[in-house]
Amino acid sequence: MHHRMLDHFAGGDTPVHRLDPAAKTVALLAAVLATVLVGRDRFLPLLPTAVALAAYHLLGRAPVWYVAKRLLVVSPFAAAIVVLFPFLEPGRPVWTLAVGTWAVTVTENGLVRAGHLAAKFVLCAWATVLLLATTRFQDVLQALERLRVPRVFVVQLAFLYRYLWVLLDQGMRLRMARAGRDGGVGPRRVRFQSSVGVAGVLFLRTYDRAERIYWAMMARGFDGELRGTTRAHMHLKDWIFVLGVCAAGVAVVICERVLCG
Amino acid sequence: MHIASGFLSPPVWGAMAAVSGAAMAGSLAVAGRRLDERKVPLMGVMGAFIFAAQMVNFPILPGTSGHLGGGFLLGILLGAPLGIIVMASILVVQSLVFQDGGIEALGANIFCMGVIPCLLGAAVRRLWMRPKVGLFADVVTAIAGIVGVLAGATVVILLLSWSASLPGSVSLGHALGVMNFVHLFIGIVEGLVSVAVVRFVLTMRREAVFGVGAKEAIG
Repeated sequence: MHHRMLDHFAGGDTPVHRLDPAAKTVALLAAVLATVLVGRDRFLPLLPTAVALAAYHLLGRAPVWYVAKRLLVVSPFAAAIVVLFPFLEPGRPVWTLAVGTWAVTVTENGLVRAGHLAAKFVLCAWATVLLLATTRFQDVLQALERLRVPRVFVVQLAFLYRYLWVLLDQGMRLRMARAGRDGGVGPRRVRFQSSVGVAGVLFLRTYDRAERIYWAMMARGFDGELRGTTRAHMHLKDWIFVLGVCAAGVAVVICERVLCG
Repeated sequence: MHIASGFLSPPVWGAMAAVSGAAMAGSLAVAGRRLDERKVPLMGVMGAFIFAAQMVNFPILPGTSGHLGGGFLLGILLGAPLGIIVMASILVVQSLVFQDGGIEALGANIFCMGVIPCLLGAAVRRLWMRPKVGLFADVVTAIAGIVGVLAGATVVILLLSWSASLPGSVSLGHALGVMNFVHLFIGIVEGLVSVAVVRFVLTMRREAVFGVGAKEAIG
């Protein structure tokens, strides 16, 4: 796992990359709301959001394979529900599979509901991937602070993201060292104990690391504020972008309510 | 059991966002008032620790192994307010960076995987701060760990049911039964692993994590 993987494309230089991170963060929220507020089983009101995301995707020159790969990593729980829906929703049968006395029926209603849930999920995930493919995570954090998210929480997110890769690497080294010693064989009780040892050692090393980080912060004069190398400001183009996206989102939601009842 | 985008209806995710928002506001207020400055990096790296600890596999039952959820362990080691903040930050990063859990469902996910297990963990924390920690603490902690996972799973199913996101031919009782059955095993892993890791920490670093000053410092 490599941190370069995640905001690898955030360093690009396109009109979309140059937009203010706060504007892009608000636009993400608008896109998610315009998607999830669509009534059940309707597909047409999702179309404007899909078109807008596609346009953003092209303008930001995000690689298709990269975004597709990220979308395929679906939460297994969500996937299970979507897959089960066609079989478990009552309605007009479309297709029946009979195995002996057992019969499994796929219904029309079930297919529509599963498709609708999957479409909403894909749109929201796509919007999220696009934000981080065109904005560095540090800039998103700075945007959150400007959007009045409490500073303690923003600092917490910054630390978490900063040390995530360090600790994942450390965890992998511990795991490899353990595998080199027991090869994954032996009584379950012993292997359980050694797993506990790995987690426990990881905790203690993390605890000590926090102490070292604290002293390093003190040495640099940390006063609770995160200072980035870039300071973003809302320009006219940022206002046009964010207000346009929000207006479009509101229009979609209102049209959907009025036209579809 | 991250709830993805689109599964919850607006009233349900709105209500859960309000509940978790209140829990977060309370935790941040307590942290702001009682937080020792050196706990700032500690909280941050603890979030990263949970990510890394989730990679460690624990062989429990024949043929199955599980990994840690984390909220319950954080509740024991850090107390409720800091545990909730750390779990919330983990869920935000999972949602934004890894697309695990929907953005509008963050409130629901923070409640099920953060607030519930952290409160249970904090409730058993005092057992581990006694001068002599016996088998009683192990048993109660393991049971609380299982209860935390089952409670979270039950709330997930209830929220899906209220959002009409369960298939029509599946009764609520059925869904609860299946979900709790699956999560019983996940809960057993969570309970046993948490007890074992807390024991380990107690042996190695009792004063820092469960010492007399720890309650005020970490709260």
